Amino acid sequence: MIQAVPCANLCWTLLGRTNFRIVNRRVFHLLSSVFARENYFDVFDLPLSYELHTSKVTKQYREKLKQLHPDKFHQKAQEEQDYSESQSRLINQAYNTLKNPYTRGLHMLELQGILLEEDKLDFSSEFLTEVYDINDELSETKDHSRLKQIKQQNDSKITELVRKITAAFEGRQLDNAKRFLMEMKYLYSISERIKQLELELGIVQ
Amino acid sequence: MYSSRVRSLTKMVPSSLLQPGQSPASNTPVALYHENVIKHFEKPQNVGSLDKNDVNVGTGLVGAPACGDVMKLQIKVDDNGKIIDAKFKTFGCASAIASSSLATEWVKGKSVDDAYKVKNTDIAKELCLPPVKLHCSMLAEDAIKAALNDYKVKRDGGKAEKRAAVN
Repeated sequence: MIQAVPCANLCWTLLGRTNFRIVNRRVFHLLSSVFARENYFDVFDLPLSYELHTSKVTKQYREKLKQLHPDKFHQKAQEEQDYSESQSRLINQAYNTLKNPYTRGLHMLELQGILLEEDKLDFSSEFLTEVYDINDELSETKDHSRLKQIKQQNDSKITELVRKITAAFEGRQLDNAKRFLMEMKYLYSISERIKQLELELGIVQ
Repeated sequence: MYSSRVRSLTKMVPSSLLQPGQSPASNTPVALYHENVIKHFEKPQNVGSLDKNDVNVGTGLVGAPACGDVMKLQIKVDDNGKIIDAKFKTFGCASAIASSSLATEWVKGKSVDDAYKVKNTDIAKELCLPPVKLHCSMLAEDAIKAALNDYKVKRDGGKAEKRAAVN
């Protein structure tokens, strides 16, 4: 791991790399803190927990990005510019992964060395039939109120799944967390189809 | 005066931005499907449903948890064990739709035993699927197998019932 060491108020050294002059100490702290992190929760100093206050993270995210804005770096050395750019990318990646309940769960599993694509889980035929039937109805319905109803049902199922996934991660039942996340993917595709249909039918949110 | 102002403005624009080939739209990456995929996607064969309660109909319903796609494939088998009809309905990407469309085309006219031999690699090859889309062809193979198994279970169950009635 590369460690950042401050050498003066306006200057800092990256071990094994060139000296960078940096705008101020605040940015230095920000850059060094981001640099040493290894998972997306650490990027925002969050505990490794599925439960997340999205609004707090969003606030932190904006704050961090503001300080790394390219405008503040365009007169700096190329290395500093590249550095701010790669850090912005990391922060964006971390934020987008964490704010979405599905990718957040996947990331937590990944940190445990579990990848979703690697193995295949067989779902009960009832679950698949239910998913199929909803998709089938969506492919035919033009009825606005029915669409709204399906959407509400799907959204409440997603909320329920988030609750189940939270409990599974808290209880360290990773197999359950994985299964629920896979179920969630099906519900997300249904959400996507509903959005698409709303566009086609000209329903404004 | 006006024209000189315009000229000076155009001078300020980097020449790279004025080249039509460099416009952002032409640089945007798009998913390029092979023409075989597009052919099946635009004109899918055998879309629809068969009566799942018919003893001669086998239904396979499979899903891909990684992408949230669902695929239903049904076969209708005559008394000689030949598949005389096949239908599918797939809710997923173009590759998944093309894979299941091709699968129904291929199993039609085959015997049940031969239909078991349809491989995902053949489907992927025919459609020139890229590595990230190989799971679509696997899904289609799973759907065929599930439909064949369902048919067999139904048929054997039906025979057992008949035997029980005779006895």
